[in-house]
This record gives sequence, C-alpha cells and structure tokens, in this order.
Amino acid sequence: MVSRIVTGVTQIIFPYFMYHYYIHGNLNSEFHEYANGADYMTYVVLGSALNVLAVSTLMNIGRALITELREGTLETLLMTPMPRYAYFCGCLLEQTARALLEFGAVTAVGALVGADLGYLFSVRAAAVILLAVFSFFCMGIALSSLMLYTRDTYLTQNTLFITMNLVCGIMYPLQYLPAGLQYAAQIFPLTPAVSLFRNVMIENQSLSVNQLLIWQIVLLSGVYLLIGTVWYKKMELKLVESIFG
Amino acid sequence: MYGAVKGRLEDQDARKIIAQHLVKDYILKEKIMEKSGLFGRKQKRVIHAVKDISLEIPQEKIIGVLGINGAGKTTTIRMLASIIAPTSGSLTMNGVDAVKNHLWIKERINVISGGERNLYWRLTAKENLRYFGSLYGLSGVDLDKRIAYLLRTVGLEEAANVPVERYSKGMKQRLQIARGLINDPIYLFMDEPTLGLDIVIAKEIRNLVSDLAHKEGRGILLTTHYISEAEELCDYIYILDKGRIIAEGTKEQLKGLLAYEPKVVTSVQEPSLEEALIEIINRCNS
Repeated sequence: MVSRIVTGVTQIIFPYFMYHYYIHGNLNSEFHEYANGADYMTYVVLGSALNVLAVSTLMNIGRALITELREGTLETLLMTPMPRYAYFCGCLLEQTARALLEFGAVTAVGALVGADLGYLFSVRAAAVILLAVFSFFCMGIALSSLMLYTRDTYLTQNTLFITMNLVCGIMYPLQYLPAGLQYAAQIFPLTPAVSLFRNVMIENQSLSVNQLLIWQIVLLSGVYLLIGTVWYKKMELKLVESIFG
Repeated sequence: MYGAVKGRLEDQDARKIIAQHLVKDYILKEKIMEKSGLFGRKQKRVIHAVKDISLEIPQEKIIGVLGINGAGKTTTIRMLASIIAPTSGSLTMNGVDAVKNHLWIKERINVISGGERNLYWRLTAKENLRYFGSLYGLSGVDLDKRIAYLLRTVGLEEAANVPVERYSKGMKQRLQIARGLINDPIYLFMDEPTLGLDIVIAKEIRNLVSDLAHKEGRGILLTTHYISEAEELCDYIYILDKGRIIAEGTKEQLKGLLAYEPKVVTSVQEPSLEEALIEIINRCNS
C-alpha cells in the first residue's frame, strides 16, 4: 500500500515541478480543449488518482491467488466446495477499502499542490468511482488467470500498468497519441473511466450526458467478466495441473 | 453447502470410495534447442503419473498407500480429493459419481498433508478454523461449537488465540488435523501426517487417526514413508510403484506374498512389512 501511495504521489509531484518550471504558460489551446478547460495539475491529479485505484483493484485477485500459491494454502482453498466468485468478491471488498485509502492519499496530496477537487465529495463522483472499481474488478478476474498461469505478478502486472499509464490518458490527453494507440486504449476500462471522472470532476457534468462513456465501461466490464469467467473455468483445471502436476 | 448431486448411481448405500482404473497423464512441454537456430522448438511429452489404479476405501477403515518417492501417491490422493481430474477411469463415493459431482464430494472429504503449509501463519488457530469452516458453508454458533470441539480434540485449546507462526511443528500438524476435520468429513486423505514429528507427537497423532476411523467411522486413506506407522494403523495396504499398484492386501497377506528368507536372521523370523515392501518393489523392478 505504501509503495502504491508513493508511486501515486510521485506521479503528482514530478508533473508539479515540470508544470511550474517548464510547462506553465506554454500550454497550447489544444490542451485546454482536450482537458475541458482544466488546469494541468487538476488534470494530472484526477488521472493519477483513478490510476492508483485501477492498479490496486486490478492486482488484488491475481496477487491474492499467487500469494496463496506461494504460502502453500492454494491447494486447501481449491479443495473446498466454495464458489470461486465468493473468494473473488472477498478479495475485492478487502482491497477496495485499502485502494480507496490510497486514492484518498493521492487526492489529498493533489489538493495540496493546487488541484481543484471541489466536486470530489458528490454523489456523481462516488457513482463514477464505484463503476470504475467494478470495471477494474472484472478486468482483474481475467488478469488473475494470466498471472496464475505464468506464476508471476511482476512482469504481467507491470507490463500492463505501464501500458495503461502511457495510453489511457493519465498524464496527458489521449488525443496527443497516434490514432492507432487511441483506438487501442479503448480496450482498457481505465480510458473511459478516467474521461468520465474528469468530466464529472472538472465540469460537474451529469451522468446522463456521459451515457456513451458509461455504456463503454459497462460493455468492457461485461466482456472482461465473460472472458475472465469462461477462461478461469477452462483454465482452472490446467492451472491446477500446472501447479500440482 | 454448495454441491447438488447429479447422476446418482444405484448403489448409493455403499459406504466406500471406489476408484476404478484411474489414469492420470500430464503433458509436459519441453524446449528443444537445435544446432541451427536461436529459439529452439517445443515438444510435447506425456508423463504417466498414474497408470492404472483401482482401489477401495471403506468407511471405518484405514487404507494405506505405500511406495517410494514418485510412485504416484500424492497424485492419487489429489484425484481422489477431486483437486485434479483423472485422465480416465471412474471414481465414486458412496455410490455418487465423484467426477460429475465434485462439489458434493468436496463437502464430504478433506485432505491433511504433512509439513507446515496449508495454514495461514499470521492468523490464530481459531481464525484459521473459522476461515476454513466458512469456506465449507459453516457459520454462527455451529461453527463456534465445532471449532471449540476440534481445538479440544487436538489439544490446542490453550493456544487457540496464538498466531500459528509461533506454533511448534507438532502444534501446526495438530492444527492441520483440526482443519481437516472442520467439515466433519466422511473420508479423510492423510498425506504423510506425521512427517518430521517427534515420536511422542507422532504417536498422539496415530492414536487420533485410529480413533477417527475405528471409533468415529470415517474412511481414511493414509500415505506414509514410515512403514511401522502403516503396520500399526492400516487395515489394508496398497503398494504403488511407478504409478501402478504392484501389490495389495492386509499386512499379513503382504508378508505372506513372499517366499522370503531374511538375509539377516533376526529374532523375528517372519519378514517385517518394511522388508516385504522393499522386496516387492525390487521384484517388480527386476
């Protein structure tokens, strides 16, 4: 948790210095257009906060299973008749609280460095955060199978997290990327989630005017949930055999 | 409880696990480097971990599975416990098809392994048992009563609230047994339950295993490297070698299988079970 808070805070502190010593006064009108008129620090803080939430939620199931494997408790767990989803939901509930704490720490530091977070304590913002957590959870189920299959947390998750950080519009507007990458970024729930979060937080837009983004998040969640479920079911036997065989 | 029975067989009153012609193959992908080329190619190789095993585990009996390392004992237990699926063969528990009804089966069995894994070390004994109990759908007063009973049975009442990481090896093993009994299983698979324990604690555990079968009516499958343990506990023994059953019977029958003259004359003229086991495996291999 501490390392993720440090990473999240670093993602704010570096842009803070860059902004104040290099970028300030040099941002072109395109940025303001893409950022809905927000200043750069607000833009970065909102992106980083949601990115921290994504990283925490995505990691939790896969990492929990890998830890069970390393600690030697996975076999006992698989031996029980417990539905796997109960375990996944347990992981989600346990770690969402922690992830929200990290999110809180990053936004608090963000507010200190001048980000405008006036709409954070609104029902809309809470609804967006919940929707985002759900979509990250769905993607996390698919990711957990991959992590367990490769028996690796570092490579799998860090490759993904660096990619997400670069293409999902966390530090800079998505529109700055080549067209191909902009399309590729749409497969990550973080991309529409961060856009939605910024729309609500910067312009206090209602959810109804962001239906397209909401549907995109819901659709991606459904697809990842389906892939995760079907794949996990198919993979479980193979996984078990690769582990215990 | 989670499992619903599908395809119940006719002889549902049979109080035993029946495994017939169980086979377990693993496909191993090996990377083969060739003289020319940088990356090599992958080749599949089939490993026959268990070749053809048929056995029965009746309730109220302790069934021993003996064999040297790599004989297929652990794979057999994992198949019987529905952790891994057999490649072929049939498995029924009290007349219910275990492959089709693995959830139903999992509610009624448990596995106890030797060693110090399978427990959450940062949790206390009580917390471990509460967690595992909840995985079997137990909760509330029933679970509390069950935990109290099990901690009393394995003699860990006083250490119930101590984190497992502070336990001795023997205490951890006793907690393993309590964990294995949390769902009140009809059948218990014990994979070297006294591994690395001192003789006093090992004896305590052997007494407990005997009571679990002969007094409480559970069917127990026991694998062990300690032949004296098998000799003391087991009502019937299967000897495995290279994934196959090479001999079976009561300990007297196994000893009787040998027209055997001990090379070293001891005070006991008939061969011990250990001598019989070694001789049977040697004969099979030669």
